[in-house]
Amino acid sequence: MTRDFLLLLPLGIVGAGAILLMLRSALGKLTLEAASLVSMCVFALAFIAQILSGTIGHVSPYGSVFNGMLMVTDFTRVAGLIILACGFFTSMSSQSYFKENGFATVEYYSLIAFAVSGMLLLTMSQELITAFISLEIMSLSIYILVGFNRTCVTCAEAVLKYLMLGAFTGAFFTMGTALIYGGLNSTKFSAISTAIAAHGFLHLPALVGGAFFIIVAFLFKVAAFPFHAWVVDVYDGASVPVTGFMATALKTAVFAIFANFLMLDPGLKSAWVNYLFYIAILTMFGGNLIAIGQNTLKRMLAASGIVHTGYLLIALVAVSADHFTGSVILYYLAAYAVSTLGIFAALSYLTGNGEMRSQFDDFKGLAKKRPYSAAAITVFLLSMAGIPPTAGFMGKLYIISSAIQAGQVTLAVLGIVSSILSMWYYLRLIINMYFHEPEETFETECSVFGPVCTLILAVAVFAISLYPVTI
Amino acid sequence: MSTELILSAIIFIGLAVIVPVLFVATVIFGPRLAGKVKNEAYESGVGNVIGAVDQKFSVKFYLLAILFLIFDIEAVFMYPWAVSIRQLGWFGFSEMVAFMLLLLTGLIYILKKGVLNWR
Repeated sequence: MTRDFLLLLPLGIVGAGAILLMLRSALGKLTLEAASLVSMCVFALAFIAQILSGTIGHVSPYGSVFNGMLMVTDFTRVAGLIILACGFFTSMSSQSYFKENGFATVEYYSLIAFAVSGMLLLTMSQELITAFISLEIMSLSIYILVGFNRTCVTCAEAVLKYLMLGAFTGAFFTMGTALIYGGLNSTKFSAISTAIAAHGFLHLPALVGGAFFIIVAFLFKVAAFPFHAWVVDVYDGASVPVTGFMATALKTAVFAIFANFLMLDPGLKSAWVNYLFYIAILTMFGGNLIAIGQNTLKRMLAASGIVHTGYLLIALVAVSADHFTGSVILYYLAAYAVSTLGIFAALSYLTGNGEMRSQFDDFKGLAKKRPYSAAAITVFLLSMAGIPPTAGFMGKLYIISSAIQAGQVTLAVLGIVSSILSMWYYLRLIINMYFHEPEETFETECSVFGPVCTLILAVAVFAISLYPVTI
Repeated sequence: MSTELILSAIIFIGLAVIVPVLFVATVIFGPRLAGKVKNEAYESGVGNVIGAVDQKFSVKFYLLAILFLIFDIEAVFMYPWAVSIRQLGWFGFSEMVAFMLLLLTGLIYILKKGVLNWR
């Protein structure tokens, strides 16, 4: 009983924190700084609670009450830790961002907490309706966060695109759920895996169709190849901390449920491996082509997010469904989250009022005026490009060696080629920062939180690279 | 045939007779006053129904519709709970209390934000 309570405690803390912030914003006695501190405390508490539950093995919390709809494993627990850390650092860098940009209210932090609670539930869900509800809790909060700046036209464009396409995705997911329920008379993952073990995946037409729709929904949410077109405009329109939050926490949550769903049974996975193989290749190279053409920093980072989705799909192709641990996927997600959050934390205090510095050219000579910020950005970019000794390098190393172990040598080689191509646009910013004379002073009015957050994440890039992973 | 079935058949037949009779009676005996206001189409709150369709609606209609949905779903959820409350016992009661408290926080939020204040 206490064990089950501890397993759901992080979710409870984040949910209660979200409601508390919502009520306080209505009563109007909380300043923005205080709100960001409260939400940071909430995420830190939930993070500690999540760590404390780490010794408990694979269990289904309150199995009889929730009818086995939730399942906590080491995989979901670490995914939850990454998501909570993303929430913490987003709240921290938002505080600096909103010193310059004045459109925030206390509800902003409340919505981040609601989104995180949906994501935590999504990682744990072992049932399609639960997964759908938590996907919607997460998505609805993020739609509002994307369009939070109501006076900005590109934000309105972004939120409309995301809302329309996200609604389509929701429809795909429910269609898949309906087909699976029609075929198997159950929406629980355990029932799906029993049915596949008994009949074989390809002998259950409703399940094949349903799994197709559900995987389409997941591929849309992680911005994989045929469904990647929305990501550049949406990330560009959202404000800097929200973009960082979407790129990291959302991707972690959706990849967690994607892996959980795909690893239900070796039959399900082997039926999809061939398609995921081509999707991974097209995602990596399509993302690279888009990223090379961008002149705006945020658009480039959005397009590079597509490339990283491609690497994660390689990891999904390579993991074995027989003894699934997901350590490679989680390691790469953590490495990617740290570098992406770091660069968005640095941008949140460097872009200035109304995000006036957004082009590559706007950062010319940053290293002369703000050497520490420029150095931190360089570390994050090198980590994303995969240069040793950063976490990004180790993540790519694990992904590529796991692909070779699984016999997917083509994927491994193409992954390396794509990684070399991505240097093109990562190094472009570093060249602008270091090899040009400054054209402006880069003076910004910011609190201490933004730079501190950037520093912690820059240290974390190296710290995570020291953590060993068994493939 | 049971008496209940016969009774319900009589009620339906009675309705089938009474309703047309009342319709016809209204046409024959009812007063008929035609005026400009009475002949206008009525659409809740919207001034001129005939004309361009791209006119702006007050956002309050949407807010009210959303609020209605929230509390409507609460009421729908409470019916099956109320029917089986004795089987569910204190556990079911505490679950419903938690659900209603969560909705109550939403109600407090919208009240404090002045959503229901129409001026």
